Amino acid sequence: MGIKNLKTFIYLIKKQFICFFLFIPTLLISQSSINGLIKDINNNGIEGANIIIKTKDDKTVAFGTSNNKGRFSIKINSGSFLLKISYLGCKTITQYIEIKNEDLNLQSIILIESSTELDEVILKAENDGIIQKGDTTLYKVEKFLNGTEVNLKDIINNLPGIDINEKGKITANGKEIDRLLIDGENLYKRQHQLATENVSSEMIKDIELIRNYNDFESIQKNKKTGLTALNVNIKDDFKNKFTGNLQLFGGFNGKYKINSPLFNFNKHIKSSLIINSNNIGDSPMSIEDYFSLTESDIKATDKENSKVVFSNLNDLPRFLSSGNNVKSKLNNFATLSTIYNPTNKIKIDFYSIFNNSNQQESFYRNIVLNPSINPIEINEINKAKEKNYFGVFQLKSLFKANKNTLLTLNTNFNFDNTEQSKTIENTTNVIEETLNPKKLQFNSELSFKKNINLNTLVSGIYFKYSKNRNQNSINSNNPFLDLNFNNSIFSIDHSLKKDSKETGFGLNYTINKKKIAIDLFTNTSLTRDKLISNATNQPGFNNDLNLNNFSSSTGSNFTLKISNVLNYTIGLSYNYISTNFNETPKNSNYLGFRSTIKAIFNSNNIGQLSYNYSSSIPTINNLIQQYIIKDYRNLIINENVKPNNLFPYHQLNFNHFIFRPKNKFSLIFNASYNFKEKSIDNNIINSTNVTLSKNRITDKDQMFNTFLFFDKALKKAPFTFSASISFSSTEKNYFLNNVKRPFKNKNISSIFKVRSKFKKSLIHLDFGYKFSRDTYTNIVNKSILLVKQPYFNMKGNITKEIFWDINSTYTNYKSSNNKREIFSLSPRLRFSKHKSNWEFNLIGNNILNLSNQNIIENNSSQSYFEQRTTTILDGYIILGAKLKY
Amino acid sequence: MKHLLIILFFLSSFTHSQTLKGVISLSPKKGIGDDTELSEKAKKPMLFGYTYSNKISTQELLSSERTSIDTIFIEHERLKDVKFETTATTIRAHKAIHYKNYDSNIYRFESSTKNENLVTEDLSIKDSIPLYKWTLEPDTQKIAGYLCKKAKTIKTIGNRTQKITAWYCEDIPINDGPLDFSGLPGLIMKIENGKNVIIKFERIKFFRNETIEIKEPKNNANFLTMSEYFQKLANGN
Repeated sequence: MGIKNLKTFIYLIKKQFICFFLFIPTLLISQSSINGLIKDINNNGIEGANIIIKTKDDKTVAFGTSNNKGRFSIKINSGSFLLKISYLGCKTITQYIEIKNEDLNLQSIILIESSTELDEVILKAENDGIIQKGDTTLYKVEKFLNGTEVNLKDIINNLPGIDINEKGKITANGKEIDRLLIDGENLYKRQHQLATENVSSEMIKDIELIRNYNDFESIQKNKKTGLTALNVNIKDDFKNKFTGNLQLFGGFNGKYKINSPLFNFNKHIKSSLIINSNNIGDSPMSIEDYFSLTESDIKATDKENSKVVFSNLNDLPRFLSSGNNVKSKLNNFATLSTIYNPTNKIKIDFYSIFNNSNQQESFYRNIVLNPSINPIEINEINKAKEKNYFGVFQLKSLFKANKNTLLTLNTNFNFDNTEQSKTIENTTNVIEETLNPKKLQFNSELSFKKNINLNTLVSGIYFKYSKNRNQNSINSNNPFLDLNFNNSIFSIDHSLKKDSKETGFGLNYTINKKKIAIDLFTNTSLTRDKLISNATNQPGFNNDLNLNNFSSSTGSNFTLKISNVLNYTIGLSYNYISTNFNETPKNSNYLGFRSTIKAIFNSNNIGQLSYNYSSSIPTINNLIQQYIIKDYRNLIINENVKPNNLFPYHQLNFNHFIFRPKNKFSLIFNASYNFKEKSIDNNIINSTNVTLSKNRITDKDQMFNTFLFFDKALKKAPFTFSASISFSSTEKNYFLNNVKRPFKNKNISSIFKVRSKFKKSLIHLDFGYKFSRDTYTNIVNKSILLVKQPYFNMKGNITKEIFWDINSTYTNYKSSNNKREIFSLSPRLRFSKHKSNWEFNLIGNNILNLSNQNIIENNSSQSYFEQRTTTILDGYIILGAKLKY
Repeated sequence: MKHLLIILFFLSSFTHSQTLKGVISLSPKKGIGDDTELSEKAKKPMLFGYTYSNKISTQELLSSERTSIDTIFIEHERLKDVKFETTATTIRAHKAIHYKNYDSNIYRFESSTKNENLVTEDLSIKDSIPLYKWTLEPDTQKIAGYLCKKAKTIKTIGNRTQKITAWYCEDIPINDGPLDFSGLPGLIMKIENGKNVIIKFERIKFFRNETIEIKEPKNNANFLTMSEYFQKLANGN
């Protein structure tokens, strides 16, 4: 494969060079009419070739055809234009030309027969149900159905090249798609699983995969956006009315699930409401979704990113991090999404999620602190209860005054309230901890985009507000944290308040010239952060911090279009930061640098190599002056991080993506290397009862990631294979008892999948093998977790009305000194009559483990090794009905 | 490797024989000239088969059409049991071929239609391919999945004119179009004759390395030029 790619690559390069040199001499002479001779490879003139002369904004100014000798002559005013020569069956030539007051003689132009391009790009091969038109691939869904499909997820799994990954996200040829559109609208944002689980298969007309997708917000014409979108078109029968279904399930031990999606697709309004309540572990979002919903960077103009993300203070609600590794879990959620297009100039997009979860966790953990020197071993039994209320409301209003002007107002609001109570038993203490973190965030941005001739102006102002409150109280039967307690009442109440306000302004102007694009930008932001903490009746826990930052970044990026394929970008920025920490002002500045080389052979073959150098600055979380209580044995403080410290970092990325629709083959290779010259890490001081984590600057922090993905559908046999392997390695220095120590973490994981693509069969197969190995190395000691997981899934139908599927997974967990095996069997039976609105289901999940089971996890970190035995959610059997309307 | 072989193969035997086939629909919307509402029957679209190969194109009527005269009784609005008899005549050609040969610059139109007296009238036109002066406009539209651009022209029929809007696709480099239209930088996918008639490609299919021989149709009547035909129309017969 490699050789073939290389040769194709060389061929493409050669072709580019031919075109490139062909036009060099012609650029030197110029007049007001363009003459040329179009020939084929055998030196015969081509009659009837199309010659189009366009301005750079795609307006055709003149055109003509070649005569029977292949000659053409077109009169035109002076200026710079794009010349496009095309002939049916040949590869189109496009070239920038500059016309002064002289004739332009293009000599002879050779058109090359396009061996594959035409079939793929212009016209279609209909029989296999895939139609490729330019950047759009249309899948005629009915060609890929085998009759067992229930919802969008089942259809997507049948389409070649499109898949759903381990995180529930839709991928196209291995890459996660950028937009999921339902009937042309981005109704579910990144919550793909809401769509894949709730949009039923009979609603779907066809599915389109669009590369270089231009959404309503994009005003730049002819720009290769690089975005991939999957559009699911809805059948007309399901439009202009309320449609949806109601699912009710119940089983032993009080297990239940209620799910009710409701849709309305109109010409102007498209909406979806999904209501769900269950105790079987269905959740509307993952940890990644949480970040994209709460920390989504809404700034349209920001190009440089300069905040340190590392902090010990960021608490995530447990319901996200624990997943379904919990003893019990109740989720109630509702999501409402509405997109309203009153006219073709206005779009209003509302998206909201409300989630309430109630969960109980139970795990046993063994922690070895300082595994390399004087190890301290801790054994704990943890029981935790958590109630969480989480809500996101996003409102985006867009006004497109004309094709070249766009005004956007983007407002996000979210809250996240948690009530957590924990009981921890170790050899000495029984500890009761209650935590009550409340977070509130509001941000709003007004942005304006305009095309001025060929140039683009983007400007925006934004405001961000966030409020964090945490009340933490710890009670124990014995002293803890080495504190002095009065009257033998071993309890402490700790409170932490954080407020942050940020206002900013950004301006970005892109000048597009013939061969270069110049991007000038300036961003300014003003941040006010406040952190207050204290503990009742205990000294030494009082923080009252104020951090004001003024930062500005000014610079430019130059993009040089070396050829139609190659683009080179180089950028330089000047950054100025003025900080005022507790009334002490300090200034600093640095230069940022970036460089990217990108080769787009076509929309299905893209390679990119980029290098970025920038610096980050500390946040208020890194600057704590007195101890903050994290839990019954962890305290956090800052040791030597100063507000005006700069942390320079280097990022090197390479990625290559190849997809061949004809061979149904795709390959992705990504590699990235991040190197920090300086970074914030911890100096950890462990003692029997307390662990101090002090923020300290370290000199080594580097990370390497690589990922290889391969997908191939067989031509002769009805199977598709896909395999991926990823490797990541982190190496850094931290401090243990003030002494510098190295820490390494390596992870290798791979998945191999085989899936059948039978048209008509009683059985459909899906099987594979997953493997992952984590290694943590602390000087010489190692902690390992190995997970092996073969799986085998089958589905089919017994009669035209009875469908079944069986999913089976065997998981083997192995750590240095522990082992667990779980065999999970999940059968399911579905009865649905053709044209009936009723559907009956008997669903079993992990039926061999109907009472709580344990798994092993390895949560090791730099200063300790941690092994957990965690209780996971029970298996269940539920019976229920679905009513469609 | 495979690519290199393909390239080598084409180096030795380069042929630009390409054939495009398609289906064109013609949907009358309103009466030409007087904008009258048409009966449902008259609005029924007509389907044509289209073939382009080796600089010759032909557009031939596929759907079976005929002239029909329907008698309709209309009840008097006040007087009971008094009915008026009226007829609705739909005149449709049962044979129609547009032929364009770009090599020899010949346009041919061949049609057979039964008139209101149900007598078959044949028409044969032979002329050079009409030249239209197109004004290009920036608007775009997707037709049969292809991005098309707008162009306008004025068609002169005797001393009357019609405003014509065409939508052409630059991605299909054929300077042809339905009926007698051509001359845009790409295949004309749709023709709008004011608000009266819409003619558009419903689907197209491309055959590489295939040439179909398209023969000039036989004439059933004596040849007229376009201007002679328009003159005949203006004279009322």
